Amino acid sequence: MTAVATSKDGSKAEAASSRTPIVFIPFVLGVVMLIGYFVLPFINQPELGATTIPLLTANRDNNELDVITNGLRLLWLSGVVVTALGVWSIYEPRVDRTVSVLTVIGGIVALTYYVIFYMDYRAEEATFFSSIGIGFWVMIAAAVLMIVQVAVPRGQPAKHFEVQYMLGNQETVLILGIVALLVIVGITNPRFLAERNLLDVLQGNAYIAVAAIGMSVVIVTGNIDISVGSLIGLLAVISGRLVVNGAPVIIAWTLPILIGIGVGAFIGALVAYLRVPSIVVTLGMLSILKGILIIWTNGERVTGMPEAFFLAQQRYLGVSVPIWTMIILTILAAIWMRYSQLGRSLYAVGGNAEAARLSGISPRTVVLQAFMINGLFTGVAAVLYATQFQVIQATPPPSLELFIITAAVVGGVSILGGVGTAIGATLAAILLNMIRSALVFINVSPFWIQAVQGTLILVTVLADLLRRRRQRQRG
Amino acid sequence: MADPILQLQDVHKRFPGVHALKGVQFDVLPSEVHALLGENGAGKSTLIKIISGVHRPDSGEMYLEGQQTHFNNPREAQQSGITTIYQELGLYPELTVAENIFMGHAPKRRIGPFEMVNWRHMEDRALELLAELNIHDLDVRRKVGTLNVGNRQRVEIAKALSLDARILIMDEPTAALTEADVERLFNIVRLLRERGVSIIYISHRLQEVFELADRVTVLRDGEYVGTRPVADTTEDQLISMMVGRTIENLFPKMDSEIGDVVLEVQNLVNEPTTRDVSFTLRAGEIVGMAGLVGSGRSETAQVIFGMLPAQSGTVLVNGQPVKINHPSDAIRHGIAYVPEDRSTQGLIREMNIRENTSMAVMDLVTALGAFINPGRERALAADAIDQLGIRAYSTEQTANKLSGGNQQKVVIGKWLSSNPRVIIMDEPTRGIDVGAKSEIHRRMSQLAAEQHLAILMISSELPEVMGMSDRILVMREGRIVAEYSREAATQEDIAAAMMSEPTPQEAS
Amino acid sequence: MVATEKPKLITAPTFADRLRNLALSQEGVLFIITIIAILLLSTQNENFLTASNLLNQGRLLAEVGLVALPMTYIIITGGIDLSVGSIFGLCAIILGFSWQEWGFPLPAAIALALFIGGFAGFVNGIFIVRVRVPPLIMTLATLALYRGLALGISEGSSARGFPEWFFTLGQGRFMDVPTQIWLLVIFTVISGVILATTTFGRSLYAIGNNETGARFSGLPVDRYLLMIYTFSGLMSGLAGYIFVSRVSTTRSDMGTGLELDVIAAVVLGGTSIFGGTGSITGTVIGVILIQLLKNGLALSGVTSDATIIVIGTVLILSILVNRLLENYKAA
Repeated sequence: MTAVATSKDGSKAEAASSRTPIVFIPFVLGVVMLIGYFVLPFINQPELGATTIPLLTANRDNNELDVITNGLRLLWLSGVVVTALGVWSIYEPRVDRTVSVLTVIGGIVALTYYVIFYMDYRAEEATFFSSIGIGFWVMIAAAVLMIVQVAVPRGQPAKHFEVQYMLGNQETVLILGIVALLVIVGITNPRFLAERNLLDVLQGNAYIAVAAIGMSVVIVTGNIDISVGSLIGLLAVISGRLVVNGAPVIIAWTLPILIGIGVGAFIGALVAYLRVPSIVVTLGMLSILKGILIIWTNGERVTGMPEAFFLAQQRYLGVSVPIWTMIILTILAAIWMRYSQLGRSLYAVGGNAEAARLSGISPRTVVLQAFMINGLFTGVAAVLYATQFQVIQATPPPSLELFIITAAVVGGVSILGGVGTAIGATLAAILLNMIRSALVFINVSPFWIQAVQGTLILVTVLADLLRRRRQRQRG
Repeated sequence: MADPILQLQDVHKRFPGVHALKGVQFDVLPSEVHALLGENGAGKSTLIKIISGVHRPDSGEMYLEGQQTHFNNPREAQQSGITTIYQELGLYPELTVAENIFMGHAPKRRIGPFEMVNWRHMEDRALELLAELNIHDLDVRRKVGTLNVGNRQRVEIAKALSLDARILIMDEPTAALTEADVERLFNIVRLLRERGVSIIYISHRLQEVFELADRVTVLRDGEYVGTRPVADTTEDQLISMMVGRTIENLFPKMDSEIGDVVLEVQNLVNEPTTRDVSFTLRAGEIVGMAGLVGSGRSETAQVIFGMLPAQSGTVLVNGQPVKINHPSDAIRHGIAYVPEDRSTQGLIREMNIRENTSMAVMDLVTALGAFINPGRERALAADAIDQLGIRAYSTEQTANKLSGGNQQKVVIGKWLSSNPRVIIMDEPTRGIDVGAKSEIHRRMSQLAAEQHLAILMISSELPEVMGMSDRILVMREGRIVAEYSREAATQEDIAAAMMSEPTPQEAS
Repeated sequence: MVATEKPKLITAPTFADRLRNLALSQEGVLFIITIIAILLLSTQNENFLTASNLLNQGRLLAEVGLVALPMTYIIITGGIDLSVGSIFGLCAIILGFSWQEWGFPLPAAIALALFIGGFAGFVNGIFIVRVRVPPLIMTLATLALYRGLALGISEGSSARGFPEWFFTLGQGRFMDVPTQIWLLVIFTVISGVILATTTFGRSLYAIGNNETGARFSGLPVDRYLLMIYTFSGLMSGLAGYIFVSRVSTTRSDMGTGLELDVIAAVVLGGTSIFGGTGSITGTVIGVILIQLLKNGLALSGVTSDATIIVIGTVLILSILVNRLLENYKAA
């Protein structure tokens, strides 16, 4: 059913009259949990802090026990309430379905964690941060969003709830996938949920996510870049060599990014102005860049970088730089792609280049800029990759470009152009890497990991495809 | 008479090998609908592309409100208030209605140093624009790819309005519309005219010109033929202006001796487009199939032809039940299908006439069962060129270099090569100029009368259905709802049968 | 009534037309580049233009050449097969392990490997045809999957110690010419003739230019697509077998990156990546040119790995030249 455009005054009045107190419950609950989460531990045992509360085991003292029992109680209580609230909001037309789904997911996560911890106190590495934390933050975010949505009247009422609409959102599917993975693998092996492991997964994956965002920008315009793996390898070595040869660290960080943009501009110019198909140009560039890398390094790893160089090992507010970079770039790219003129032009060019030209958008310039932006993201990814370990390998991880393209595609980018988001690309990169890590935790033989991963990628892609097809048939 | 808002004088445009416009003049008054007529290749497209800034004229002047102007690109034309709605719709299927309307000029909001697209404002403005057009049933957040053609066109018009268009160019806007959508479109056009927008209206359907336009200008072979007030002209006059000669008869139907039943369809079902369809087709007979776009005519034809699966039902050829699971089965049983969309379904446009002609019957031109014999292939193509009067210099000419009418003749030639007993023609003359149309009609008559082919002609043009058919079937919502003999049929009856229940609007 | 005067119909292209088209075609350009490359390289090194060197190079290019044949078909239909390298590796592993670990007789192991190759291609095809997964996506996924299977089955170890007769295909000679060159020549000629002269070949071009149009013309599009993807898997398996026979061992990472070499050769040979045009002749020249460049540069003292720079450059340049020629032809 299409929503009928009611007059604006009508919907405003309606919104004002039905601002029921029930929507504020998650908010209140959030505040209570916030207090419970940050304040209670400090009252009882200040030195423990928020992130390192040990778990309920036989040799814990009563004080700690109280804290944890409080936390767990809070967990199941809020889990139940928030789940119920999320379900209710599904039928509330003013709440966006994504928010409803997020809320339900938050509630279920909280409950699941409660069950896991109730069953298995001995998960030694599991900490409060990873247990209550994730469900908690999701709940808070969803609740705040919901309040904003209900409180602020919109020009037209939000769409009626439709399962297909909700599933039509690739980001929702990916979040569901990630949550399902966390829950299933978490039940099998709670260590998977340990803070350190989850951070490791995110950190190791960050540079791929960053590159996948750049890739999705290119694919949205209907092009592709298969040289990205070689470029990351080359830029990483450039970065390392620079600093080893005495260049200031800041130069070693920024110059590769500039070179990345330059290479992107070169590829973009060939594609946009000389009209060579992008798959051919980047296939050629893949060979060229790889060749340069091999000649230059002679297969030798780069070592002996100064301590200050390792950007990816630095932490701010307890979270490492790669994760910050990933989060910030994802948000910036998402905003840019949705709200900027050029960002929207990407979709226009990818969706219908001729129409874009007639609306005064220059497809050539847009394609050129898309490749330059991809170069920028590749550069950043290369710096993250270069600075994460003490050595820089002479060759990038094999099939890196395929992993990046897969992340972009699983993230909902249509290979035909015109569709896709940055958030999807990042979530997909996280999911793919998490699958890899999860397989280790459920004791899959390391030799079979790639096969299982391949199957899962295939299943994800197929599911996405069928979902889109159903959607189209519906319309 | 008011001063023209737009005036072109002595415009010339040459392309490599073609002198597309030879000193054409054209003017548009404020608040008028000015129809532009001409056969394909007469220069209409070139003229509107010059007006909308896609091409620059080689010589000649253009005056906008008395000021001499020229546009370097479509954007400049848009900024001066000239917007075009092209035949191949200029929309982005994966983006929302609101965004399509505002692509390239979305409302912005300044946040710090950044200009951001203001989505809320954009959606509100889109709703307002649609409301101005009396459109209240479009969800502005819906993806355009999920809309039907009529609604997409409304989005295009709203897009033009969002640019504050003073002159709106519509290139064959009704080509793909249902009758109901055409009526809605006409209402919108009249509404726009009342508001002071001038409309340049291009169409092949003369009927529409008389219904809608104030004045009409005719081009022929790149030359200006004349401009007339619609009230002072007749259909015949316009046709003779367009083709430079009088066409005696647009529908040269010959009397044909009607023979035995060749094709019989019994209770054919393919939900939701084909619901229990039964009819017969006799040798030498042309059966017209009328119905709204979306009534299931093409889908039914495609089920018979094996492109779509039949869920149940029987097809009998010469009284024998046949199993058709694939088009190749249909071809073997002597059924041919000239599809609706010649550029994507009918032809391989990148391939030449020879290759296209043999495409459905490659087995006929092979040696040893698999190897194509180019000599026989060429003979087959030359035969088709000859028989159908295709204007081409060689069998090796690429199909997309031909005009629409000649392309359609190649498609028909390809299917005649398969020696069919039954030929289903889906919109055989859509988007084809009057001259070629009459030739195709004449050829159809000959096929039925002289070669005793059974022809099922699906058409959305009632005059064509009335003029060409021995018998007329009307489809609505996947069912055949009425049948008329040639003598008994009236346009009113058929139209009523096509629409007798209110057509449901898509997905609502 | 329309007076249809009949213009004189030219039914066949003139010889001059054909010559002009040939010279301006990608094959023509490539052929000239190849000749120049041979001349240049032979002046650089006297060993280059010797029969033994050239035959040895033929041995090396056979694997890429065999896989490039079905790849040409696939790219002509507008598809792509990225999984060939993984199928290559998977078949090598299946061959080695079914023989060494599972106790198959060697001929049966070879047959099984080829069957698995064909089956892997068939799986690609069936999803592309029935579920309509875009080929790029489908084969990207199976690239990971098949490689993973190879890794999982082999558990990282390798098989060796094949009997002497097994090496005939990879290391032996027939009438002084390496065995696999014979095989390559036979397959090339057959593939070339099929593509250029049969209804099957014509249908592939039709599918590549306009798949919908091909379907409406009654061509068995699905069956043909299924056939060429299966063919691609089969040839990858055969190439894998030849490779094992040449290097005497199996490893799960064999054929990594093969897809890029093969696609580069096909595209270099003038097959449009968007489908609809291309030829086996072009592909053959593409494969040969790449191998000659690798060899010639290696003989001239360039590191073998570095030759890929030249290949990349040649690839981009040749397509660029082709584009410019097209513009010239169109004008």
